[in-house]
Amino acid sequence: MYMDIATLVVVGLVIVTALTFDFTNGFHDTANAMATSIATGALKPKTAVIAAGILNLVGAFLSTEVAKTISGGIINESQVAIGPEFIFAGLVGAIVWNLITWLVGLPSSSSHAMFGGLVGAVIVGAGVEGVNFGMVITKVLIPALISPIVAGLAAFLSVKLILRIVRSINEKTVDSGFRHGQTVTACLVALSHGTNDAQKTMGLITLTLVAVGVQPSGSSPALWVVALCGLAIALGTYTGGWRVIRTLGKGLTEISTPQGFAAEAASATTILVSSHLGFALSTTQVCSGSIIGSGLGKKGAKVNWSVAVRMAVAWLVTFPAAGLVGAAACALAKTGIGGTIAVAGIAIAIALIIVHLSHRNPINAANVNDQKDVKINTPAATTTPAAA
Amino acid sequence: MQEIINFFTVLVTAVCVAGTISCLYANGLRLWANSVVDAEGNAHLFTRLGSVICFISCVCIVLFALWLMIPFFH
Repeated sequence: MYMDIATLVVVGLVIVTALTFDFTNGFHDTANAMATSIATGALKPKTAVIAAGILNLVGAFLSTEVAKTISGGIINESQVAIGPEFIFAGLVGAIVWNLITWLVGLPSSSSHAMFGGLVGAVIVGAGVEGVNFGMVITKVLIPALISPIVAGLAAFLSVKLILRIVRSINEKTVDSGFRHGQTVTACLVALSHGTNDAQKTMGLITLTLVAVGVQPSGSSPALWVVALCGLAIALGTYTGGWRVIRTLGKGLTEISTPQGFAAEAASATTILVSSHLGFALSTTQVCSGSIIGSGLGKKGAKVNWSVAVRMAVAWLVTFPAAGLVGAAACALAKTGIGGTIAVAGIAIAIALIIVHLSHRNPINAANVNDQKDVKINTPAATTTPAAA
Repeated sequence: MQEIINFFTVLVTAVCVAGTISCLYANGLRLWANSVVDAEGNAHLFTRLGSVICFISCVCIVLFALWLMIPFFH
């Protein structure tokens, strides 16, 4: 099989970009599984991200079913030819949006960002007929509204039940007991994340390889693709998106171990039930909703609604924002190999600027639980009388 | 219409399953805490047995979740 140098460069860029997206997906979504465990002290921050990384890697090898559907019907793959440059541009849109939301510590759906980026790129590259807008409503908009409600209600009722049952036993026993339970439920969420999210990138790389004739149409992802995607998401997860972990673990509400257990149990149940019934919900929105629900379920606990509203706005904006970046990237990439390389250069520059900005107020395993909010600039040092 | 039915199915199942796990685990802890040997040296065996049954039920639900998650098994 012959592949000209320009195609080879574009395919190489798509694979590297897809793996980069998988990496950002990993570190962006570590919080979903581990934020409450880290906040309650059920797991040490480093232990939590190592466990989540390993489970994401294992999850990537468990199933390749999601990889075969890729866009879930949002893109009319049978009617428009999706060139590698469309996929590349879509991934650039998703990566840029993931990095922006990570910088400000907002949990947003990486899958919605990927779909948004792809839709924007396809509209510019192949026209609006390439997008199934009905599926955008059923796969993106409705789940975004439903996920927090379902998981939030499940977590709210679970917390109420738990606190009623354990009210007669001492706090230390409750705390230690739910700490163990929370570890198991958090690991379930991490594993289910691995079985879903790594596969989307596998699907995109496979689609690219099919588009250039390296693989036959309808084939499953090659083992090296599965391994690379699994490693990328695991490495991203291990790196730990500490900014998003702080927002979910500390910013929304103060969580005790029974609340953390209820939130993780509600998240794991909602994700599993919905995906088994073919009604895929966003892991990020499910986990955020269950944390809010667990906060509301405990008498006297407060939910920081300003953070919740900012998160909801980010969820609604994710799809169109990633779509706009994807569209702009595609407009430049479709001009030729020079345009594609220019997009890659611009994307790297934006990523470096965002990483540079994040160094103004670094958040890591050592200080993730120290404060509740995520600011770009380091907060002014305050001296308390006790400290002075 | 199908979407609405799916939504309510997910809602009811998620609430019921999460509630059941939470109840089982919380009851397991409560029974375990109440099953310690008392001042007269009596071990509350039935309370402990109840606690173990609750925890085993939780383990079964987790195993079922793993079974659902891994397509190889079904």
